[in-house]
Amino acid sequence: MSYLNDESMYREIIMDHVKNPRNIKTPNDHYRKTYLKNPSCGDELYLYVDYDETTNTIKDITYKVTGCSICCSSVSMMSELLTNKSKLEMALIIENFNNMVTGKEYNPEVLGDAVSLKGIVNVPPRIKCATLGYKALLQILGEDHE
Amino acid sequence: MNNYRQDFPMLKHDYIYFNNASTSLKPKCVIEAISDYYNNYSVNTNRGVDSLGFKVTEKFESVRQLVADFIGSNSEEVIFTRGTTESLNLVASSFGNMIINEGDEIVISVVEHHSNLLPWQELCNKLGASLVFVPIKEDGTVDPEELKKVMTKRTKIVALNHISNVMGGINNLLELSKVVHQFDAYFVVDGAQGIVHEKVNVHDLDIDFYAFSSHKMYGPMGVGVLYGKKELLDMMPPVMFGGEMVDVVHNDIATYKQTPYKFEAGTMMVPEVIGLGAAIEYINQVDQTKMNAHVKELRKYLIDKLINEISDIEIYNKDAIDSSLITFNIKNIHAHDVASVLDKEKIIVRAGHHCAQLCMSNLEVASTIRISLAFYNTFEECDKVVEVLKKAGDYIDVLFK
Repeated sequence: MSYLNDESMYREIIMDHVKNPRNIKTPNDHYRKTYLKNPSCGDELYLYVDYDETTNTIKDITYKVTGCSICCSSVSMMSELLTNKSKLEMALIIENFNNMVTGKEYNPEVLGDAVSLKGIVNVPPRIKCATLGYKALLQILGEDHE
Repeated sequence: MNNYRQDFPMLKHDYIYFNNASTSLKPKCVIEAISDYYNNYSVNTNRGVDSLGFKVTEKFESVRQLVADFIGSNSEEVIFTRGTTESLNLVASSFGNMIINEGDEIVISVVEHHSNLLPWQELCNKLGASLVFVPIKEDGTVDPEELKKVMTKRTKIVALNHISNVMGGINNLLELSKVVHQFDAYFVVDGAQGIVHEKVNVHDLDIDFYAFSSHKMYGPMGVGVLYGKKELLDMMPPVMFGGEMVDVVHNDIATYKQTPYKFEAGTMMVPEVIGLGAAIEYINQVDQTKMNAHVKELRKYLIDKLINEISDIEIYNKDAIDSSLITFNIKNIHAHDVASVLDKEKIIVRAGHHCAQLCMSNLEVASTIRISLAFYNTFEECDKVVEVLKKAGDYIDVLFK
């Protein structure tokens, strides 16, 4: 696939997530929740996760987000990507996503639509927009060891 | 005005700098004044009897006089601080703490920068006083008649911006100060933006306190000014204690120097103060009236172009015609997406909440883009920003270039 085709395809994927965000619904009471904000720009995210502790699996992800196209599309992609994933699979995916946006080696195969955000590596001030959702998820699952 | 561009080393780097309300660029003379200090007389002020110390003290104090002349005050009414934020905190924690009692009221507006909101909010919470918000007009200014309506006999302080850092409208300080004093309250003015774009005479305007920063008026960062009326400063207790501000020290008590020195504890930011002096001399030489006239022309040119050529633009401060600011959004596009697209073309603007979250709620937006102009900006730069916005499409180009 040529670069141009890649570009138009990625562009379409991103804008599709912006215009038709996935997994928007009312969370059930037992969903774990968190709130995160990028104080410098005002991006706001309420993230809700249905996590099954017996199988260590993410059963469902939903959210309310206000922010830029990168932040909103990234959260939407994440919600698709990580639903029905085990904690181990999640860790692998997030590691690859973080590697992608910071210019390290990564496996695009595991990233689904999120690979369309790979250009973020050239826009360092916006990395925090792309990673807000993942950061919130790790916080919910108590894996936030920053 | 284009001739003055060569005075600013930063402009050689091909940036279009449209974020002047955040901080201005610095002319060579300011940078050189600072390095002259470090190269040739970099000692402390006021200590001992050496000739270098004498020289630097004279230089330091001469800037106090320059500032005083620039704002129409006396030099003993000029306190050097770290910036507008520290100046306003000083008024709140010394003067405010002294005169505010439980049940009193402090009036501010929703377009205040956080630095003219949070010190008062904290003070009110600590002393059991309340914050009262005066309504604003569309350009962010306060109508003196509206101010009258919220003033009561409990109002002790009115703290307003001279020019809002988001809306850009210019408050009529003279009329506002008349209202404030009619009610026996005190008038504190956040002059961070105003000092750059308006000629200020604090005595003529009968302002009690006026706070501003050096770095927005072509001077260095790390220094600012608090002007206060002499009789008020004399009453106020110092809030920071240590070297230089003290007079006589005993085991259990000390007496402090006269104003302004009692508010300047410890070693001061001497090179920055000297740099501020160079900035004021520079402004005087270029002529503030000419600077402002050029900025006004640029703004009119750019705002007309934006309205005519960018179909989805929403401008929030169209009517602030004397302002240097254009605050806007592109419909359905987040401010940061717009700012990133401009950034790729080396156009620097501010996007976000501008340290004025109450103002954003008032506009019912989460964030905006702000273009803030200075006298060294050009019509060609205005053309360029419009050209980039016209081609921005879905505003995610930054990911693909």
